[in-house]
Amino acid sequence: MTHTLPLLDGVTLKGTRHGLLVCVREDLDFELALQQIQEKLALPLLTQGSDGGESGAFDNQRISLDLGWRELSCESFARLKDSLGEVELAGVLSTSLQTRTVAESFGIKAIIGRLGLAHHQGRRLRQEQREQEQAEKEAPAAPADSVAVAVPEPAPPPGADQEQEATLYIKRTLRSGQKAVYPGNIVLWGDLNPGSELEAEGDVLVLGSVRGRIHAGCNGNSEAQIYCQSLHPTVLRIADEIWTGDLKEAGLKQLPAAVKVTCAKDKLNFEPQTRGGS
Amino acid sequence: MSNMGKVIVVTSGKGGVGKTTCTANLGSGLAQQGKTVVLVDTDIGLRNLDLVLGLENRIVFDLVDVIDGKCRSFRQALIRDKRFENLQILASAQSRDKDAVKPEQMKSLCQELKGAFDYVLLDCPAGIEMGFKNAIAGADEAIVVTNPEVSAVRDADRIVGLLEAADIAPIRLLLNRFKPNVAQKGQMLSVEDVQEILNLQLIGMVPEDERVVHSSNKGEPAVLDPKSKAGLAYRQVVQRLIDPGAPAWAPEQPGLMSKIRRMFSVNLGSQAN
Ligand SMILES: Nc1ncnc2c1ncn2[C@@H]1O[C@H](COP(=O)(O)OP(=O)(O)OP(=O)(O)O)[C@@H](O)[C@H]1O
Ligand SMILES: [Mg+2]
Repeated sequence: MTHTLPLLDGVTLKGTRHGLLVCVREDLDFELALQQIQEKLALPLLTQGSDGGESGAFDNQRISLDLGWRELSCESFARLKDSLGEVELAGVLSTSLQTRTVAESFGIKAIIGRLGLAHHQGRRLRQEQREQEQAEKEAPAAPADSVAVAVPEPAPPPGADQEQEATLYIKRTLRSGQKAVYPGNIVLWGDLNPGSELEAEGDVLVLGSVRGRIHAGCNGNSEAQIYCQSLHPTVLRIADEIWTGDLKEAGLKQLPAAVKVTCAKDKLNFEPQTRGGS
Repeated sequence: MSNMGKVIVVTSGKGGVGKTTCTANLGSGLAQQGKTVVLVDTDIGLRNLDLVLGLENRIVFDLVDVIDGKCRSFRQALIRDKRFENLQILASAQSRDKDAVKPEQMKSLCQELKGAFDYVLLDCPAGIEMGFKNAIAGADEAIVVTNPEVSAVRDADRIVGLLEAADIAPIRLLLNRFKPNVAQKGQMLSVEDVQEILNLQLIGMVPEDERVVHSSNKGEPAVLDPKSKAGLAYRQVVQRLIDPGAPAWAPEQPGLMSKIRRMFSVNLGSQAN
């Protein structure tokens, strides 16, 4: 059983109390992200904001970016900044230390967090957001304040209601201090080094050696699973159950080459996998 | 193509693993090979690169003076080495703190320096704070120094993640204070153990050597001491810096596991986004 996510637009705009927030979905290809940001910012309804009345007119010359946990190199960040053209980047919101460090090196204020998008936050929070939106709709039409921004609601892509299984592929090694968080499954095509972390609402599969921490089913889904090709003593969690690297506790004499970990009643269950088996 | 030099930052994360010693030795070694070299001590507030080279008493201007424009040009602040006239150092300020310098300022200074020298080696402070950010801002390449200890390797891994994000490449590994006999007995991490985590190109292994401490105290880098084992290892690192194809002191011998693993792990380089 895995967690599923509806397809969402890669880049969405959100009016907040502090101005316009541009949320960029982490799994969106970087080049596409740049393109979409430019397209979205060029939308006419935004230019209306700046010449419109004072009430609730969002300043489209100054935006913030919510980058989730996307890790940007200096070069990519520079390109992202350039792609904004005249628009000033007021701040960056990110859960990635690297991205924040890079942003700060460009003199841009970077804070930890992920505010904007439902797809950063998984099903539970998406539900909350839906409820909030519902409540807003029901509230008496407030003057301009929320209307002027006209945050473009992403048109539901075809087949959005039949939910799509979201899996994030990471094709590199996660080094100490790096963390990937995803509201779906994660496949890591590389090593999980000591001091790094994976946190998924769904399953986690790692093809390299595992020395960092894994939390599968992090929103309480005890049906999530972890699969490792080369497990070393570390901390594994599925939903609320925790294993801290003790072989005896895992019912193992040695760490098997490949192992599937599931969540049993009150502990984690380790099933060594044989070659060719599943 | 212009003949711009290379800016190489020597960094580690953990303190006391041998960055300053390495910078001084590689700088002297490169100068001995006829290269023009400038060593920049970016450890503001904890100056000691000048000591290791025995140049303490010659400092008039320092890095912060150059950045603040207190001297005519960076050239006025450079101190010429006692032994090699093609080796110069830019000392750090002892009485200032790390906020005295900004990354963009370091970047433009490095740009100027690499127009004038074959090699610009930056001695980076420990940690991942402002001093580190300053030191890597203008760097093209990195040498990550580590010791065969779990904590040093962990910190090195952290640093490598940050260097990769800053598009610094290549990032090469120098394993310092290595004790061959101890590693064989399994009481210390072996090269394979270290590479199992870091998986970097190995530029050299420098053995633990008492003479390093003595020569640092005397202000005479070990690389110039023909009897020093560490000196020999540094000379070989110098060869590899000049010619990346030169053999390492101990060639990398990945075990079967790491070979298999390497098929899976996507290699370093600068991965965008
Ligand atoms: N190969 C070696 N064998 C023996 N001693 C060594 C070796 N390399 C370095 N040392 C000693 O280790 C100590 C720390 O070295 P060094 O000052 O170069 O480290 P550092 O990384 O620059 O430290 P810091 O983080 O404080 O700047 C010094 O006393 C030095 O002489
Ligand atoms: Mg030092």
